[in-house]
Amino acid sequence: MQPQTPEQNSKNPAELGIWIFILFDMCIFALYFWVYAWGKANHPEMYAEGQATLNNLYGGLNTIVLLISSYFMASAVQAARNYELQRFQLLIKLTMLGGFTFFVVKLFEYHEKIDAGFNIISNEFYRNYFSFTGFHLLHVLFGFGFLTYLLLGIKDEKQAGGKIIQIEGVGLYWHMVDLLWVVLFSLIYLVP
Amino acid sequence: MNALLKDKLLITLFVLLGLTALSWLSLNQVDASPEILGSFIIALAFLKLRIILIHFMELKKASIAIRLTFEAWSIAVAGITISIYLI
Repeated sequence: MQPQTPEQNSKNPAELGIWIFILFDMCIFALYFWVYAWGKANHPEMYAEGQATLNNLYGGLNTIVLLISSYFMASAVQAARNYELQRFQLLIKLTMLGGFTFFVVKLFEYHEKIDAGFNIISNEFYRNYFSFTGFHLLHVLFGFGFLTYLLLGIKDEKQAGGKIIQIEGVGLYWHMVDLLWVVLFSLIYLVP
Repeated sequence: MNALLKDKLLITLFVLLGLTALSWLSLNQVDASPEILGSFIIALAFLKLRIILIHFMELKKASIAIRLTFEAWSIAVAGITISIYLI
């Protein structure tokens, strides 16, 4: 079977609808970025104190984990286009491992904060921290579900080739989850 | 080794990891005002976002309308975010 390319399958990698959905979701997060930046600009001491309680190692680790899982996902899409079923399945599993690791690290981080007495109603900084990263974590969970669907629903090379649009769509969603975290990590954990 | 070098996705990953390290290191190594440092880190974040869009999400292979939309989003959101941060 000949390897597929986005040009052969459709005009774009994945369907237009998924791009529109991703754009919509990114616009929602853009509002979050601006709300956070606005809060930081107006209450610099509160945000500095709150940021000082965060552990950059957790945030940094999660950034590295998601970037690597994005690499695996992009590679999985290539494998599917080449009808390499075993390689596709392995790469999907590695992508899921990245997502699971992110989830565990995030839960551990939340637990640490709550144990230290901080929660979503502590102040504006923690409201933004918990709600924005929590909403992102929800996206990770949905992505994990989509990846599970790919892993369980594609059993042979023909299926992999036939569902390439769906695979590309899930890939786009997962990369969106990654790129949103990249900005969230920088804004919340790093920006002084 | 050659196969690794030909893996453009792997190169993209290394670039992204390198930019992440640069953001982190700039906090401790660069002697600049918080505003300049913060704007630099936000700009780096959106550069990484664009790299993910172009190379992982294959935006370069999408239609011109989709590509322009997401490029415009990246520039506009980065600019507005930095502007609000600097208020």
